[in-house]
Amino acid sequence: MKAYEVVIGLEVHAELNTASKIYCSCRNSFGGVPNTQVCPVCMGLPGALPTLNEAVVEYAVRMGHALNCQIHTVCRQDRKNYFYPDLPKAYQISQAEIPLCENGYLDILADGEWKRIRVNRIHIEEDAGKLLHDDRYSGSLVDLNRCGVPLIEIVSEPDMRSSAEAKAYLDAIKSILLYLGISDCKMQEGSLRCDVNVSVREKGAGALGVRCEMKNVNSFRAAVRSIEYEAKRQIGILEAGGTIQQETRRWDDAKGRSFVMRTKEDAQDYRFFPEPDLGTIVLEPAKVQALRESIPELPGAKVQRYQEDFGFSPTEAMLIAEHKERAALLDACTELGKCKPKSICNWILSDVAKYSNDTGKPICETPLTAEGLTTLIEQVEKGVISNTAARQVFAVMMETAQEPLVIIEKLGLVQNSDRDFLEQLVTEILADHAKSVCDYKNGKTNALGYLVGQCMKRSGGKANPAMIRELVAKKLHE
Amino acid sequence: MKLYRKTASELSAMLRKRECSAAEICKDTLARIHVAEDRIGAYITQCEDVMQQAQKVDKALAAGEVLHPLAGIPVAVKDNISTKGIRTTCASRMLEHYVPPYDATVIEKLRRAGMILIGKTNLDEFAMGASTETSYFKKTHNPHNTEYVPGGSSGGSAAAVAAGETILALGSDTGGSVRQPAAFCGIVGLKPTYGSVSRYGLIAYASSLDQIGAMGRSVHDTAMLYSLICGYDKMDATSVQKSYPDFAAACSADIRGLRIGVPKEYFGDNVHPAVQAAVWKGIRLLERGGAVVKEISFPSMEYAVNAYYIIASAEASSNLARYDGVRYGFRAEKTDSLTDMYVKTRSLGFGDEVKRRIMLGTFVLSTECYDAYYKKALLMQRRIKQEFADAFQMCDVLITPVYPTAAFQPGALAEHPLMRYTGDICTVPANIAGLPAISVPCGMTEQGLPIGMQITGPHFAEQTILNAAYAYETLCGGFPMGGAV
Amino acid sequence: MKIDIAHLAGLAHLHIDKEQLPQFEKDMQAIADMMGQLPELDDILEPDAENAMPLRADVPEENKFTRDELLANAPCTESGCFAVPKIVEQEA
Repeated sequence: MKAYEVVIGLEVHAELNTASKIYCSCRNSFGGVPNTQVCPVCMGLPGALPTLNEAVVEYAVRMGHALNCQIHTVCRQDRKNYFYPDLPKAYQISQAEIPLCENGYLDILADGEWKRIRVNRIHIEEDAGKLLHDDRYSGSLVDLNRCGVPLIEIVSEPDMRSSAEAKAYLDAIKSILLYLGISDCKMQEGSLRCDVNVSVREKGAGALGVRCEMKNVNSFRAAVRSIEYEAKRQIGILEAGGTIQQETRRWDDAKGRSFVMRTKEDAQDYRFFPEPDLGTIVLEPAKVQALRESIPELPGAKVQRYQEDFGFSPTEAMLIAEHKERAALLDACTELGKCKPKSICNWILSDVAKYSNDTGKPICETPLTAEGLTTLIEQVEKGVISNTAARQVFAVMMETAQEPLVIIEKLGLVQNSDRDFLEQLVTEILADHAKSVCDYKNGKTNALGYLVGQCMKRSGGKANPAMIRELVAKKLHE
Repeated sequence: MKLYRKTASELSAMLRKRECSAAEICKDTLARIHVAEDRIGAYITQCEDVMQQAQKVDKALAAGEVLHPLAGIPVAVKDNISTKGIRTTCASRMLEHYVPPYDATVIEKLRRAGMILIGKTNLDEFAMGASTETSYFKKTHNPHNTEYVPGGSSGGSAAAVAAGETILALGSDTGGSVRQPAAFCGIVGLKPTYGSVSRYGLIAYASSLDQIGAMGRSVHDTAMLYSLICGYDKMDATSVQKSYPDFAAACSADIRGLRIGVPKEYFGDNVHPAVQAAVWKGIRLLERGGAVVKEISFPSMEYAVNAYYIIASAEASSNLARYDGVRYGFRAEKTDSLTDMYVKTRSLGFGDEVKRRIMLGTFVLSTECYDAYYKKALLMQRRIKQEFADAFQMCDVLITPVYPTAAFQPGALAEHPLMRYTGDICTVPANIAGLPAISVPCGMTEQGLPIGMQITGPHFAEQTILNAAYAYETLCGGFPMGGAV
Repeated sequence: MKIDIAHLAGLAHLHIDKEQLPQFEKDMQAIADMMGQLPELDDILEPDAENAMPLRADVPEENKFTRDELLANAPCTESGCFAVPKIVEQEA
């Protein structure tokens, strides 16, 4: 078999979490009783006209800045014409010729390597309604609540070469959307969706292969699976001497395979033309600049900073940075300067992340504060309490929202570092466990750990473990 | 008392002097409708609450409330303007039973001013036509000679005003649909600057060209109605933010020094000699009143109709795609799939002219034709705008015919499909360029059919063209309410 | 350019009866030929910055219409929804 390369381009649709819809003042909220979040405009009544929501433009421009795009300060909207019951006007107001944002890029970290993925464009458009099926009814039912929910479509260049890169790209896009606070990114609610374009070519070939577009990809996991499936399918065809047909396919995640939706021949003619009901979008340069300045430090920059300033590994840095809340907590903790950034990182990625996962609560909804966490870590670093004790304190902190020092005091967890006391304790333990001492001297070095453990046990966990270890070792060598 | 023969300005004064009541005006108008409507056929729907509306105004007047000058004055509304609770059909089977749940912005303004909504007037289906013959419901007849069409597409509104079945009317003008029927029926029709009247609630034919216009029997009446309906509307993104004065109050017949441009391209061989003569007579009258006349040239005029039909049908094909039988309007029965329902609904719901324009629009927007048709049309539109801008460096208004002929008989257009389109040659340039233009009666043919004169001005120069029209009206001694009916 | 009525009718979801086809074709071809007579202008079309529109502030308004009012014109409703014939996936 020849060596093949998979070429992937992604179109990500993200619903924006503005307060009102894109072209009318209806509330932009998920779900609701069917057809209760609609008005003459978003249900396409004759004579109703669209008015563009300022926040949609701002959100899209911010995303454009975040993805290093050129912003078109003069642009317009176009109609995309097609018939479907969930599209009340029989056209979608979108942007064809001139998108708000164009020619950007996003650096992703895949397999420990940085890679630059070019972003072709970001444009604004309206979402369509939903089709429902009711077993008691033989036809299809149309709910228009979602009509006019604002979307941005982020179109990448075909720059990804593996499903892992595609996953990293999607994770990065999602993370940025959350950092900017412009989308809820709830895939199960459909607020983040993607279309996947896949082609394959022989390694080293210049021209791109014929691509297939996959629709109905409803999760990142589905994206990965559909890419892998599609690459395999196309390579299979080529290996068998066949040619790839350009087509749109539908991903069926349950079956784990895709099906042809339409071929190139019956590709639709959307008859795009400028939306005559709307004027030109004209952005003042000062406004564009102000939006640029409103962009917070993004995960890519954070990863680099964590690596350079704190010595985190790329994976650790990414695990923190791509998670807005973890990064916020880490930044707040390091700001306090009470303990080592590496210790904070370990705590966030272990106990904090675990608590958040187990309870399903985002960090901001827990009682945890940067002050509390750093104080706790500081006690460990100073040797006041042991790591084991710290975990116990952490659990109480999360439960009762008490200060760590108060908990340590209350539970009497302060570590005993009194050298005379500890020497006395070690002497007693060694005397009680003569066999282990003998074993150690005969070369069974793991007896050391056992003896340390016994000391800790008798001290009720309060003995300073580092000192105990040192003393036990010293006494065994005497 | 024949109050229906009076102008809005006269009735407004009489109401304030308690010489008549709104109820009397309405009673008289309804009686007139009762007499004339059988022969005219102006209305698709007549409002049932006319007298209640009138009594409300009379009560307010009696209570000494300060009302809008047009309070108590009957107004008819073209049936493509949405009226809450009153069916709005666009003269199409597709919307035969459609009752809008909201009022168009202009309707809100009429209601707030206390105008009396008399009824919804006939039009060419979805305003596509020049004779009101493509209406699904009925034919409307020209009050000057019922053997002739009233023009279109606002034929119902024009005929109603001319026949005294209302005092004022709203029309809509995409390519001449206010001005041409006004000319055919011998009344005044103003197509305002694009963006000066809100389109919210106007059922779209071609969004970038459509504009609601005012129709009346005098220039002052027309100015009063326009002053009421114009203004910025946040619900219409194409509406223009500026201050709009009271055009009626500012009407002046003093036109000394007014520079009138006469573009020779509007007086080509296709324009009937009687029309040419009548319009020139009007121009000479204004000249005697102190205006300065100069002939100018408008080279791209010959392309205006082509560009117009490309843009209008392109937008129409998209605007009319929403009529699919899902959310409102007609739905075909016995369909076996979604696509079948769409196709049957649209094929039975729309008339032939609408289908033709939808398909033409689909054609010019298709991938293969976009550059050769649609894009070229937009470029031509820009050139035409530029030529108008150049012309308005040299003159204040342009005076031209409204239509190459006076009213014709039914069926005339059906025999000449191209004539359906080329007849609009004098009116479409103003739509293409978004300019205000007014049609005023300027004489009669030998058969006794009215001829119209069109006065076009620069963007937002409504006052200038209204003044020129007012001057003409004054100089010629007013526009008599004639007609066979 | 040649007019293909069947293709255009398909795109526009219209059906033209066989006996009507020749007349439609003749009329529309004449109009299309007329419309095609536009000169080549070597200009570029850019959005008109002078035609800038005001943007709407992102403030939601409570719905002024009840669902019943908005559904009142629908030819067929079911459970508060617009009802249409069963949709087969291929039609997407």
